[in-house]
Order: sequence, then structure tokens, then C-alpha cells
Amino acid sequence: MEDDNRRVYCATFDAEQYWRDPMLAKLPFIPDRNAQRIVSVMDELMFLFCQPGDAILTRKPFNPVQKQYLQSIGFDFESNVFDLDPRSELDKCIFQLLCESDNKLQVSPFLEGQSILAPFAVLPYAAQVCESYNLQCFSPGNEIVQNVNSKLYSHQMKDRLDIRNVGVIVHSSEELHSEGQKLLSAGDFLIKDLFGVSGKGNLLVQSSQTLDRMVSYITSQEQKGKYTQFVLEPLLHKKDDFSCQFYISAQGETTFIAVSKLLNDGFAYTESSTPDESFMQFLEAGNYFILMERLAKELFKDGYYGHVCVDSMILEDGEMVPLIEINARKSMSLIKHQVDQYLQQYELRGNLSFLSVSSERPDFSYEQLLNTLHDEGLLYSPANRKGVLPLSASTLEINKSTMKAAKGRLYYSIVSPEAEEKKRLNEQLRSCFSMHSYRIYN
Amino acid sequence: MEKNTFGMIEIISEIKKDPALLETLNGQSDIIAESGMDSLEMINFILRIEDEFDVEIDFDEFDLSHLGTIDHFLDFVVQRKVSP
Repeated sequence: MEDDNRRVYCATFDAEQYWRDPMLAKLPFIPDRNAQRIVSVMDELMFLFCQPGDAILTRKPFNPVQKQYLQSIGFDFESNVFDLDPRSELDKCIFQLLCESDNKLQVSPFLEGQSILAPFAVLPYAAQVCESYNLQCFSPGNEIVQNVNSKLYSHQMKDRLDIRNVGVIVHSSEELHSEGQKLLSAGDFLIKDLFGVSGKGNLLVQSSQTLDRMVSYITSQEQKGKYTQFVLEPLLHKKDDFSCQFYISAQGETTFIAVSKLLNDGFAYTESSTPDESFMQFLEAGNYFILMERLAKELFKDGYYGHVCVDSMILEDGEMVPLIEINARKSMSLIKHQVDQYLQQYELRGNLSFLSVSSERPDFSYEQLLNTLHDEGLLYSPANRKGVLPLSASTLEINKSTMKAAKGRLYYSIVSPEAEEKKRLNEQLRSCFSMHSYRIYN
Repeated sequence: MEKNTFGMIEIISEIKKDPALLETLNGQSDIIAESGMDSLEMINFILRIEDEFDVEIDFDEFDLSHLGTIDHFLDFVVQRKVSP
């Protein structure tokens, strides 16, 4: 890292939507404001990057009960008490909110000029924020970040690195139809939006009816002036999903940070864990890290530096697919690594996971939840050396005032040295939620 | 697949890979709250409904308020069939 100044961490997790050209034809998508609200407050997770003296700037004030718990287990960070998004403008990223804030008298002292802005992802308005608030930011320009985060860039990178590339780019609804038919004759395939993320922006095509429907939907957008670009890829039969995190300094030096194994449900992330030694040896033997080093050099050549998370997988037949896509930003796997960094001081490790729930009891507060976890011996503390370490409170609480069955999400780490005990703790956590009128969806 | 409430419940159960939903859901069940479908599953659900019920739903006009209960959405789908 470049400097010892105080860092201010902030995030907009659905970064891809801000990199996407609005004139690009899209796959069908049903907007879900409740899910969007949950994602908007995932920025609380950024506390994990803070060193003493650093600060986290969140859209909504950091949940005070959660902050107190985190401080009690050794985390040390400042957070804002003002609401940066009083009008719930969910379509605006945090940098736009900062630029347009009518609360600059409170924001400016919190940001303290000369602090370093350390975002989850570089987005439009980041440069203006640095200028307006006199902050430092060691990031490449938005156009570079946008370019290297596109699926088109990942697709082309496979050719640049001479690795097997099964994808094809289509530039019109006609091409989608013709290439889609070819792929479908061999099996199921995926239509990937250039800025899609796990859970949205990928569509699995299993029948000619679905293909025809997508072609007609894209055609109707082209008639309204949109242009088309998608990556089509045959559905590969994967055994393991994993990702590699590394950091490219402004001078072009690459530092490997971690490898995480991912448990996905369909295309959506559910859990990250640390792979065992034999898996790491398998990657080493397959020259995976040499390839990642080459990839980092190419990224730097194209002007990018900063955090990178590369999604990779192992197929059922044992073949390694080293590059699925490049995420030139921080990532959930990096957050998992940060939890491990914290736990390492106690010689512990955890898996990062989440519960997707809805609550029928708005009166059951987060404080009561933590107390219940504590009373049942489930809440992690360094003294317990095991348990559930809740990582985000607002993601669970944000919809409580707006819905009867309020949708929420709890991110947490299950801490234990034993795999069996992790399983047991997970089950206990689930039954604790069920007992307190939460419906669990995942 | 029957083009009625149960047909719709069968599709939700298949998408969620949860056979228990066949028992727990009924016409008055709230599709989102009681199935827990995420945005991607929702698209797959709509695409399956289009195939099975032989209708076309306008994705640009559609939002979650059209879903509501299973019977409410069934009415919406039937109307689309009559007046596309």
C-alpha cells in the first residue's frame, strides 16, 4: 500500500451497474427494491479493512449495537453518524451521494482532508469526490476500471494468455440467434451480460423457446436504439468454484493475497472457505499462479492497478479453467480474507456465509438477536474461540420499517477449527433464526 | 403442467428445487415472501410461465407488484392471454 495516512473505506457493492453503458441491450431483469436496499447497506462490511485510526463511511449510520459488539471483540474504527442517503436514492452510488450531499458541513470534517479514499470499487464521481473533499485516491481512472471489468475484456484476455476460450461474442440479436442455435445443439449455454454479476446478468438457455424469447426481447431493444454485445458460453460442468485475490501496486508489483473456495447456489454466491494444502498444490502444479502473474502484468499494461479477484473453476473431469472473469475491485472473497486476518491473531479461521431471511417480527431487534446468540453460547468472542461472528447488521434490518415480512440478510463468519463443529454451529444459528420468526430462504 | 394455481406452484417448487413448497404454498401465498425466489430465479420463473401458459410478459413493464399472491399473478397471466 502506498501511504500511512488515515484511510476512509466506503463501498457500493453492485459496482457493475455503474460501469455498464445504459445504451447496451440487457437481459430481462425484475427490479427488486428490497434486495437493492440490502445491497446498498452491505458497505458496513468495509469495517474489516480498517486499521486503528481508519474510518468507514456508510450510506446509513453504522448500526451502534453492531459497532459496540465489534469493538468488544477488538475492532477499532471510526464511522459516520449522519445519514448520507436520507432520500433513499438507491440508484446513486456512494460517490454521487457525496458529491450531491446537502450535508457537507458534517461530511467534510469526518473525511478530514488528506485522508486516503479506499473504495470497494472505483466508480464514476470518485475523482470529483477526491477533489471536492481534498482526499487522496491511489486509483486508475474510471474508464480503465470500466474496461478491465467488462466480460469482453475477460474474454479477450483468454486469447492474450493463450488459454482455452470457449466463449463467443455476439453483436446483434441475429448473431445471438445463430450462435445460440449452434451452442444449443451441443447442450445448455449461458448468455452473459458484459457487466453481469453472480445472481444477475447471466441467463441459462436450455431450450430453443428460451433462446427465441431472448432474441425477440433483444430485437425489441435494438429497435429502440440500443446496441447488443453479449458473451455466449457453453455451460461447463464444474466441480469446484474458486477465486484468487491479488493486488497490483501503482508501480506494477503483484502481491498474492489469498485463494478462496466458493460454494455457489446456481450462479449466486453462498459461502467462501479456505482451501486445503492439497488444493493449493494442485493449482501450483497446474501453473495457476504463473498465469495469474501474467494476467496481472497484462492488467497493469492496460493501466489498471489495485485489487483484483479472478474467478476460476475446476471442471468435473478435473480440467482447470483458470479465468472465468476478472473483477478489478475488492470482493467478497477479499472480505473473507480480512476476517481471516483478524482471526489469525487468535490462531483461528472462519468460513464466510450469509442467511437470506424474512422476519415476521419487526419488534425483534438486532440487539435482542445478539443477546440471544450470546445466551445460547453461539456468539463469537476471542475468549470462546468459536461461534458465529455477525458481520453486518443493517443488511438484516434495513427493510424492517417498509415490509410486513421484512427481507434481510445476515453476513457472518462461522469460527471453529473443526469442520464438523462449523456445520453444527451453522445448524444452531439457523434454528435460532427459525425460533424467532425468521423464514430462511437459503 | 396444469394451467392453474397448482401448475404455478409446481413451477415455483421446481425452480426453488424444494418439493416441500408443493405442500406449503397455496393460491393465497405471497410468491416472493413465501418462495424466497431471488431475482435470477424470478426471471426463470417468468420464462417458464411464458412457456407453460403460452403468454408473453413485457419485461420492461413488469415489476414485483404484479406478482403478489399466486392467484393474483395467475389472474394477471390469464389476462395477458386474453388481451396480449
